[in-house]
Amino acid sequence: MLQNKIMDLEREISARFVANREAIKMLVLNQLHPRSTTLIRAPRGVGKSTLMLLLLKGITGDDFVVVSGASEVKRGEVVGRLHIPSLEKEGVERVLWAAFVKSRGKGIDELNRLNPYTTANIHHLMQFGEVWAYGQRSKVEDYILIANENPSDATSFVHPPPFYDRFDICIFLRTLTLSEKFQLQELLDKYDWNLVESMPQVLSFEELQEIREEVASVELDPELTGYINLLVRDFQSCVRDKENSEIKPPTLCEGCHFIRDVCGMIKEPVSERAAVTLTHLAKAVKWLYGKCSIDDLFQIALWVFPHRLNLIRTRNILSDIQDLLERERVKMEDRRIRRQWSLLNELIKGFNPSIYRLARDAAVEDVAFAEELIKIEENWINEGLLKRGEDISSQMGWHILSHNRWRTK
Amino acid sequence: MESKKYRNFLEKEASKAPLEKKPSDLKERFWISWGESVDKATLEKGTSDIINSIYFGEDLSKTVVMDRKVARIIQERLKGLEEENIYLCKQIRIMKFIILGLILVISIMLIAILL
Repeated sequence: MLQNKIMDLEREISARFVANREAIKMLVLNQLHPRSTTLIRAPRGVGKSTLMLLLLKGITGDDFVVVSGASEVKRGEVVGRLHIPSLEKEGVERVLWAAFVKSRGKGIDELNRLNPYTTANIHHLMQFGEVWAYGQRSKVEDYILIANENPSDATSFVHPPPFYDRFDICIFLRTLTLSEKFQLQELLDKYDWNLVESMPQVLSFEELQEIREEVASVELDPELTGYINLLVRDFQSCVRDKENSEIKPPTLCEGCHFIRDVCGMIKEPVSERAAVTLTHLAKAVKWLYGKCSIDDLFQIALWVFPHRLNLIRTRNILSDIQDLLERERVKMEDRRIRRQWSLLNELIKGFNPSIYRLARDAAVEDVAFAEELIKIEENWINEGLLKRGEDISSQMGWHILSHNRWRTK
Repeated sequence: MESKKYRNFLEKEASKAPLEKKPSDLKERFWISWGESVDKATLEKGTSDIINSIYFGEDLSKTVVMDRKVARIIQERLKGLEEENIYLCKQIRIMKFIILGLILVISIMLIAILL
């Protein structure tokens, strides 16, 4: 069974990598969808490169290429170079595509040191699944891409947030405890100080592709899909439209009704890719373990959000996001107690003053819910069931969805 | 354009925590009450209601939700307990004085008898 192969892969990696079990689990799960991209962040010497190589070797055997940001990596080594004899003899520009493009397994060591030109090429590869050189295009087949970086390392270049957003997950590794250091020494002795060389290829890339197809066909419950979208929306929404505002939180939040809400803690919200990744991972969990619960979803979100958002104050990104997720759970429970979705379900069917009053009460405490109610209100205003000025957005002075109103009229 | 999955999500959530509508005397108006929620164990075991935990001894879940009314009840109860505590402290102090006085009287009486 293909599930057993994935379990074996996780077991083989865990047998060679001490601690960080949760990170290994997520790393393996994230490979179960096409063109997977993973970022490993950790301090120096914790095992970022080792973990990257263990996974690459476990899936692709020797068909992987690692480029190092620490060395001077040129475009020719990452994308392709011109074939000089063809140009000299025939006058034809023929491109020799780099091994990095052609290989199934792609690794980037010390991503934060990569120069902007190479980064732009890799960004394009991740975005469109193709590379360009000398006016010629090469389509890139399905792959696994793993990169690592030390966030506290003084780097030459700062990469743009959209580049990091292309990474599905970001896993953090920690240093070893006292007993774990003993375990590592025993492991090094056992594998003759070469953990990566001892790693077997557990599954072929063709098997991985078969798994990816199976995972893609997994159907998620509407409930789980709803919670994925809700979770992402709560990490995005803002009644003052922070995404398009020049003034950012916390200044933007001064005097806001929702200042103590999750939205008030987030400076730069997550993108829609967060929802896509959460869906991929939820499907992978369901395929591998038979089911994916709300608890699993919150566990996964911890690895999907850190590299995609900026908080107004960051002490420790993982703890901070964990706190926000805990608050999110309370909020979801609160919504259930208020019967918010039941109210919305009734209002979608038609206008009802009694239910509308209850929904308005709920909306003043919940931005995501308010957005949906405002959308329904717009329909009622157009149908003449409600007057402009009686709606919640007019009364509260919120400008959610207010752009392009002329189009909907 | 409304998504079918979105409607399914709302319907599923609504079926877990339904609304009950009862007609009122006024036309086109009705009373709305919360129906019996079947959604009891999606998060974890234990109650999220602090009142159930205090009065019925149920284990608390990881997330505890408290509305303003419950917070008010707890606030009132704490205030009452504080007042009772102050009153009992005063009583204890008075009792201590009485006991000391009685010990003193008994001691004087014993000395008087012995002499």
